[in-house]
Parts: sequence; structure tokens; C-alpha cells
Amino acid sequence: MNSPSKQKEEVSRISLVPEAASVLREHAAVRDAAACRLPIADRIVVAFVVAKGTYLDGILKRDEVESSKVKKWRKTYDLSQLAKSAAASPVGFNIAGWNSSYTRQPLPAEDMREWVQTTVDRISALAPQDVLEIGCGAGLLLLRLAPACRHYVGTDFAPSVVARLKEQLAQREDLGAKVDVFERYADNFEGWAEDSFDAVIINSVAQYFPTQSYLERVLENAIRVVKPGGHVFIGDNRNRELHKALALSVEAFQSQPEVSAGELRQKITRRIQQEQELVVSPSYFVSLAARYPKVSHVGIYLRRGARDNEMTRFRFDAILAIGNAPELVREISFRERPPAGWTLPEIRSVLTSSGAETAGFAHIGNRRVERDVKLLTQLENAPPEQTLAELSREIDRDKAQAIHPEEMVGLATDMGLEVGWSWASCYPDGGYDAAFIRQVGEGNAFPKIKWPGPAPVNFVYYTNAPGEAAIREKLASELLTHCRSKLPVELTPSSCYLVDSLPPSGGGGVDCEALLAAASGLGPTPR
Amino acid sequence: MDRKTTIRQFVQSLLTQKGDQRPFNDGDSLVFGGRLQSIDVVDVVMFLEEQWGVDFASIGFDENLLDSVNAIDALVQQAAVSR
Repeated sequence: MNSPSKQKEEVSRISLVPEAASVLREHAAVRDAAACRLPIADRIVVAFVVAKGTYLDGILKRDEVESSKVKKWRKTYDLSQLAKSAAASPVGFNIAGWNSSYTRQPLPAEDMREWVQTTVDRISALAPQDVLEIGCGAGLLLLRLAPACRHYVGTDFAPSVVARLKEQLAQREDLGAKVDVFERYADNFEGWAEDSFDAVIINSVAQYFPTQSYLERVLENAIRVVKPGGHVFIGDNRNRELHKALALSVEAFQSQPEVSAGELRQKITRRIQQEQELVVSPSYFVSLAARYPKVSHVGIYLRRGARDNEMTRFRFDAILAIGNAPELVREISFRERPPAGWTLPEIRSVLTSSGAETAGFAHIGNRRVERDVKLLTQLENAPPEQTLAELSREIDRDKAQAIHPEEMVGLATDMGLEVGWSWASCYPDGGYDAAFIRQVGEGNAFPKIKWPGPAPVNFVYYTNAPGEAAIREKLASELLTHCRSKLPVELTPSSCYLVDSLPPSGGGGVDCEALLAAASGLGPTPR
Repeated sequence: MDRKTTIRQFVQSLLTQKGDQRPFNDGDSLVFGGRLQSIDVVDVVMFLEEQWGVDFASIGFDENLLDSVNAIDALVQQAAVSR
């Protein structure tokens, strides 16, 4: 069969095959299904299936897998505290275990200082008083945020990490009465009543959750225990939309310049297939607003920071506002991206000439990832024998056009404005939307803006499925066999993809174009 | 079976489980060479704890010392001496 990208070329003439969708829905594994016919030579039917969580839990033995994986991460963090660097850490700055994916060496202390400070600033702006931090680790955030809070509860699953934090707390008399630390797993909310905190912080932790359903379980509880007017802060998430760009970035860094495009592509595929961490699309968090009435606003924010590292390039913070009045969300009109992309002088010019209180700019090129994304595009189209050095030379000939998010802060400051950025749109090139407003006052949170949202294609896959690929493929194969036994050949799907949701089309049906676009690049499932 | 062979076979099985069928030599870098991730190192640690009673709480933990079959073998040797 043709690859999904070839199929996408024909997407303007695709049609739904309700008979196949109906047969698929009869299968015990299927919650919902769609089938699309491509009017290419052999009139291929492609199926997309949302599996029942309970069925997948059963065949994947998710309880066991989750438990074993969480235990392994727990041991990883326990071991990190047995390193000499942990014992030698100054109070409040224990960064043992924070290693670069590029060098596999500890991240530079300067990068970590910036990472901690920008995170603390973002959370402090929400002014929480009663805080629950899940995965508080050795207290990088807790020890900085707790002094301004009324009550701070920190939990972590690694006993030696908790012990290390308690040692540090013993040296902080000011915190003894208001901080409680418990050793417990992230999904254990036992004893915490509804509306009992005004912030739940889950920072740089979600990537160690074993599955999307575990993440959902944690968030469902986090939303439950936060009071109206409060927030759930899920910080430092790895961005699924840029997962491939990160894989390339790391593999290119670790490879010799003579590595061929063919070999580099294999390395990237292998890295993604062997990914052990949960990598989440911003669209997952955006989708929570529709599923949890208590969530009144979702903000997806690029990380602050001038340091160039994998956190500033590829990670984001999601902030769920709980129970806010809808009128607190400000509507801003976003100017469309000009054909050649936004430049800083153009944005300055618009801001100067409009003189408006607010101004929004859609799809600004992102300097942080511009090179990685361009290199990925080049690599995907390169002949197998072309070398990384040759590809890099081609990329580096082009002048960088995109804008570093921190440059926008400089511009805003110059003009007496404040700027906020959003990654909710999930542009495939890592671009972002920016909104400028008159100053909100030092220390105050940037207002809640109605940001542009993701395209339907981003709602198809919310997360990767670490360690589940083979079993998912097996289920897809089983569903195809089921269809073959019930349908005439002309209605039988030739491939089947397991997806997280079926994005609706404008007409109330299913957006096949988005499904095919999202499936492109994944390769065909077994026939 | 000697200790190094046991370690090599364990590493081989770990890589195979990850779908990595590529051959490796005893001196090849496994962690820093990108073939084992931090979470896989936990499997190595648990194996060493079970098989030879290596006590990481007393000797400390350093991924560098688990980077190759040779390095792991030397660590087990050193742990046995220090007991």
C-alpha cells in the first residue's frame, strides 16, 4: 500500500466508509472508529480506532506495566541520591540526576539555576497559598515557594529523595510548621478532600508517568482537589509535536559529521521507538477543558529562559485554571503570519502604529528550534547517502529568520508592554503565538488570554505510548482480521491505526484529512 | 560461567528486550553510547544487587561505572573487595 503521506495527497477526494466503522465498533476493544476510502488506484480503506481504555489495560496488563515502570523510575531517583554530587549539593540546589540528553553529563548548574528561577517565577505569579506539589524531589521548587505560602505539602515516590529533602528542611526553621513531606506515588490522593488546595504543582514529573491513562488519573484528582480560582500547574512537559525534532537534535549532536542521512534517519526512528518517557502534545491539556467542567482555561506556555538547552527548546508548561469566571478570559485578535514570517522590526512597527492596549501575533517562527526543524525537513527529503555535514552546510547558509521568545520580552519592555506566549496552536515548526498587553504590574500573572488552539490534526495523538508499540500493533492486526471476517473485500480496511481521538469535521462527521495527516510518517500497520 | 560472561549475557538480553540486536564488545560504551537509558541502568543495578549482592548504598552510584561490560565487571570486583 502507499504510505499515509501519499494517501494524504489524495485527501481532497476521500470518503467515509460507515460499514467498516460499524463493524469495527462491534469489536470488544473499540470505543469509536472511522474508516476512510482513498480514491487512488486500489481504492484503499484505512481505519482509525479509539480503543477502550479498559480493554487496552487488560491486554497490556497495564496495572503490572505501570507498577513495574513506576518502580523503576523510583529506583532511578533513589540511585541519583547515592551519587557523590547529591551528598555534596548545597541546601536548596540538589540537581543530582539532572542530565543532558545531548552529552549525558549533568546539566550545567547555570542552566539549572535559570530553570528553577523561571519556574518559581511563573508559579509565584499565581500567588498560591495552599499548595500540593507532586514529585517535589529534593525541594528545588518547594524550598523557594514554601516561604510565601500558608501550607505546602510535597510528595515524592523515592524514599532517599524524601529523606534528603527532610534533611534540608531540618535546616530551615522558618518552614518547619508549614511544610509537610510524604513519600507516596503520584496517583495517591488519599486523604485530600475536594477543593482543599489552591495549587497543585506537577513539575517535570509527567514524563515519568508510565501511560497517558496514569497521567489522566493524576490530573483528574489534581483538578478535584483544587479550589475554584486555583490552578493546576503541569510544568516542564516534553512536547510531542517536537519529539522528532528533539530526537534529530540529539542524534545529530552525538553523530560524526560524516554520518549518512539514511543512518541518521534510522537512529531517529530507533530513539523514538525506544523512548521510555511519556511525551505529551499540548493538545492533550487543551482537550481537558472540554472534558472537565471545573477547568475554565488552559494555558500552554513556552519555557522562559535565555539559556539554550533541551528544556527551553522542547518543553512547555501547562496551566489549568480551575473554576474561574469566563469573563476573566480576555479575547485578543491575532494578526495572521505574513508569507515570509514575522520579524522583530515588523512586530515593533505594528505595535508602534496601532497603539492598541493589546495586540496578538500568530505563528511566530521560533529561533530556539528553527535550526533543528529545518534540519529535520532537509533530512526527511535527503538522499540516503547525503551526509550530516552536507545537510548542516545547507541549513547554515540560510540566515536565521525566527525570533527567540526572550527577544520578544526585550521588545515588550522597550515599549512599556508585557508579552505572553502560547504553544497551544501546536504549529509543526515549533512556532508560537504572542500577545502584548499594557503592563499588568510586577509579580502579577499574565492575564488569561483566549489563545489560538490546535488544528484537528493535533487531537489525533495526545501522547506517545512508551513500551506499548508492539502490543498496539498486534491489536491493530487483530482488528483487521476481524474486519476481513465480516466485510466484503471492497469495504475491508487494509490498514488500521490506533488513535487517541477522532477529530470532528466542521460538518459533524470525522475529519479524515486530520487523521491521515497525523498518521503520515508512522508507516503502515500490518496487513 | 564466569562473571563477565554472565554480565555480557544479561546486557545482551536487556538490549534484545529493547529491540536492539546490534552486536557489542565488552569495552563498548552502553550508557554514554546511547544504547541504555537511565531506566535501563536500573535493571543493571537490580541485577548486580541480586546476583552478587552489590550494595550501592555503601559504594555510591555513578553511571560511568556501569557504562560497559568491562566497567560493570570491574565494579563488581571492587564491591567484592570492599565488603
